[in-house]
Amino acid sequence: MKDSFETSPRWLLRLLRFFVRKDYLEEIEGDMEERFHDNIEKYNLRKAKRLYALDLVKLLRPVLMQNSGGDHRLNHYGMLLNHFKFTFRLFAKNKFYTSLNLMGLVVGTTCGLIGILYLQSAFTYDLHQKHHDQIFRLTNRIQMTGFDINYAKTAQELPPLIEENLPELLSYVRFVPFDEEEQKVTIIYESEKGVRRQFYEERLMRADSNVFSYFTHEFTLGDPTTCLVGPNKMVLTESMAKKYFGDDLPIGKLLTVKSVKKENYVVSAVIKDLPDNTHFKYDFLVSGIPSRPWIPYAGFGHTIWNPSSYSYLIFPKAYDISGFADKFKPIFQQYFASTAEELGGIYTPTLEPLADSHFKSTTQFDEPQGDLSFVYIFGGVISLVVLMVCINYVNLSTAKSLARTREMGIRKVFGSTRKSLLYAILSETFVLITIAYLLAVICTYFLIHATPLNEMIDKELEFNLFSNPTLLICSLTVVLLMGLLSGIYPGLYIPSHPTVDSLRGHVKNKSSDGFFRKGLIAVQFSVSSLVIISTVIMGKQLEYMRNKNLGFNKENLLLMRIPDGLSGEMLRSSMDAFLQSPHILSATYATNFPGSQSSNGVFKIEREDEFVQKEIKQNFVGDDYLKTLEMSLVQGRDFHTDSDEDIMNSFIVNEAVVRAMRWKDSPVGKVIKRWDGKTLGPVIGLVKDYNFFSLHNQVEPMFIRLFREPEEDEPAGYYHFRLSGENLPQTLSFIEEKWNGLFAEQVFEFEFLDSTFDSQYRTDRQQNQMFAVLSSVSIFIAMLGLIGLALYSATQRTKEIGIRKVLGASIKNILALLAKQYFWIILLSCVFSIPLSYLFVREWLNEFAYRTDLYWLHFAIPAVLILALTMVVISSQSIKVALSNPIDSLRDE
Amino acid sequence: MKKTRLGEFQELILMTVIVLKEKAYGNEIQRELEERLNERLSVGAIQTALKRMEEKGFLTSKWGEATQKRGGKRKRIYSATPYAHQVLQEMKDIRARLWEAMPQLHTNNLQ
Repeated sequence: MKDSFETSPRWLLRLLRFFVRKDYLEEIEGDMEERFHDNIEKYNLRKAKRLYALDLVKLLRPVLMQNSGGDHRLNHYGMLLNHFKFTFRLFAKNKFYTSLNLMGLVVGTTCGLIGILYLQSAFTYDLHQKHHDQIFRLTNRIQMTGFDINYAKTAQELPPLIEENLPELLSYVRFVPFDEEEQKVTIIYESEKGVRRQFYEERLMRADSNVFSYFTHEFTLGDPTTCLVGPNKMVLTESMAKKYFGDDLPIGKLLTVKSVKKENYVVSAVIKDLPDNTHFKYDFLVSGIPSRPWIPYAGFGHTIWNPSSYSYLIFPKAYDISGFADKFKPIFQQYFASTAEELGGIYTPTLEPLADSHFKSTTQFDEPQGDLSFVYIFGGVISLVVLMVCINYVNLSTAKSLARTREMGIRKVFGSTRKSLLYAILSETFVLITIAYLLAVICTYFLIHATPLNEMIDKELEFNLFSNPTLLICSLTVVLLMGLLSGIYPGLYIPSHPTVDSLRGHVKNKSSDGFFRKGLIAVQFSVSSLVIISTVIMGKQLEYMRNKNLGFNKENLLLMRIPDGLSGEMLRSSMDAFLQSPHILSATYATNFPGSQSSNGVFKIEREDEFVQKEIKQNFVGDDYLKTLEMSLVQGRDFHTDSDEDIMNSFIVNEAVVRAMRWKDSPVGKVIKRWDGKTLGPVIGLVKDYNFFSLHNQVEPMFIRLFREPEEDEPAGYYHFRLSGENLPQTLSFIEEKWNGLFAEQVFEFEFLDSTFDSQYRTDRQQNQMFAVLSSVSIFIAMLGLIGLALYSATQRTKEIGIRKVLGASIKNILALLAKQYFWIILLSCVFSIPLSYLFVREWLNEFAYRTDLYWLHFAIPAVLILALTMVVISSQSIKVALSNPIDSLRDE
Repeated sequence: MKKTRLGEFQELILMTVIVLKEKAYGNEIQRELEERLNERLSVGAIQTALKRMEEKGFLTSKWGEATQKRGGKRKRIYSATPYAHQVLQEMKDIRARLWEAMPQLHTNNLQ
């Protein structure tokens, strides 16, 4: 029969042979073949083939299939257990090296965990807002002659106008600072039982009643939809509720807010505190944004030219905001164009996605903005520290490999492949890293919840490994990477010695390996000296800023807020009362103090024959201002104290004004007009430049003007007292006594100018502190590695040292011999890292207008210190070997 | 019966093995069963049942002859163990008792 010579399709047969278990194969293949031929007889070839294929598919059953698991897995499992057993034996045998390694790994992993937390918090700014992709902050840039400011706030009448004219806009939410000047306000609580609590508060906003429909907040008490509907309602955060009401129920309680006038608010809801990574923070929200009438033509100081509210526009999902500028044009034309023409002003609105406000906004007068490049730098340095830990592991385990050649040799003789030895060493690494990870989790928890770390870096990090899947996944990934990075090279290197040599114990470390290890050490020391040098120079800059002559004396200057609504007469009599103390040398007042804000004014200023329009900062001050602040007058005179002629109308200017106006002759006598052309008066004096603002910025042009009567509905400013510096406690209690006599209702609060002024460098100081921590961690890790290596190489050379000693080498010679190689490595890495740290530090210093000078010593001293420290560490490790009796080392055979 | 259960299909195969005696190898069992059940079975189903039962101790097997039709591959001849006979007997008894216990009426009605 011709058909009987047909065979089953070959490729199907190959497939069958591939997947059917080897010990069943012959039988099943035979059965299939036989059945195939039966089927040819019964039906035809084509159908037989089809049935063959069908049967083949039906053979795909676990019982019959070649199993990649099964006995195969059993083998691996057994080996793995064996690896673990060996790992723990190895750890027990090399307690010293294992603990060095473990310490490094724990420190590194802890750093990594904290780094992940920090980055996570930085990169999720405002992402907890469920509608963050729909909320855009409306900011605007206002330009006029001599005036160009990119405001974070916009005019509060603008969002309603946009809503009217832009149908696709869903809604808007505005936040208006309670006090227009964004000064602190007083909040008072008086209970029926007579308890009175009173505090100054900064973060009090009036908000639109729909705020909670778009901004995500968790409510502890109250109803989100109605809590701000109606007049005089207030929502506050949990911690504020606790501060004012303790454990009492806050709902329905009355709080009095006092700024220019007193107003009562009823607490209608309590929200959870805002997360740390929120750009726009508030503690209190109250209802009732005052409706400012929109005046069609009112000139500067009104309508859109007067930013007053943080405005958020809410668009539909996936709305393309790029067309907003075009859509805004008709609105601008209709309402504002005429004023713009009159003023020569340009108005550019911008929409910022909510989540971008913190890091990407370029606006001024905003909440504190983030420094994205520092976040990246921090992340980079953390990764370098983690890398250093891996390097430590690689270095220590390859250096120790000589001691393990016999073990490797015997394993190979018993049939281990290179691959399975790699697995053995990788599993050692992973066991150690897993232990380190668990310890690091404990350390991190402790560091974050039991030490002032959060305070130091000015964050509110929380460590909840299990409720934070991102952290869990990221940290496990980092640990996995660390394991691979540290395990692979030793895993390939340690078993690489020839089997016979390793059994005979005749293995020498190849010189190229030493080179590799030295290279790794160089990398470690480059990183740590980079971080250390940067830390030192950052510290230098902070010190420089603390000590720089600012053009006024910030030491021993006491500031107290003048109570609102004080009359001029009261102000003067209170000053006289305070001046009775012999330790108050001089006293004055001013609306703003150095380091706070200043008001801006637009003026028309005389230059040659014309008047130039310019925006200039100004500060309104009392008598004796220059004397109290110890500022020096270059030309002209101070305000007359005995007449009223100088009030508001005379100007003292700083040198920056002269530069900005490009006055060639004396500034004294130059006439200054208001923006609308009304003549104010002449310049009467010129003071030396003084840094009214932080040293991040150049001295700006500034006017000093005299006032004696505080405006009725504006905050009067601050008392400035020059103290002698002696008997400080008595002076303070004297002032407090007087204060309580004069203003019984007001809380006595004071500040010292030097500390408030330096608080402007909080972020810089915090960055410096983070670097300081990282530099100690990195040098610690580098030293750990070095200790291990130094001790190891010293023991390696016991015989050589013995011979040298017999031939007359002194201990000093021997120490020098052992330290020499590391000396060069570290010197080399310093040479490498100094230019790098220079580049980094220069970048960081660019943020400051006034910088400390960089001397080569700033770089050299940390480098020398690192070098010295290294030499000490190495010597302390090798001294034991150097001191040992040559007989002992030469005898052992 | 205890833990070592015998599925319905496995029971059929087991009995076929006993019926076929020395001829009981994969294909023969399959042919016999297909005829009796009057449905097509797959090699996979038969083989799985055989291997399972061998594992559980119901069957033993040994190599048989090779034929040209089988591509020169040997057969594997299965035979039931005494244990299998015992289990089959037990199952039969259980069934018989159950049949006895069933109400007569019921079966009559069905017919």
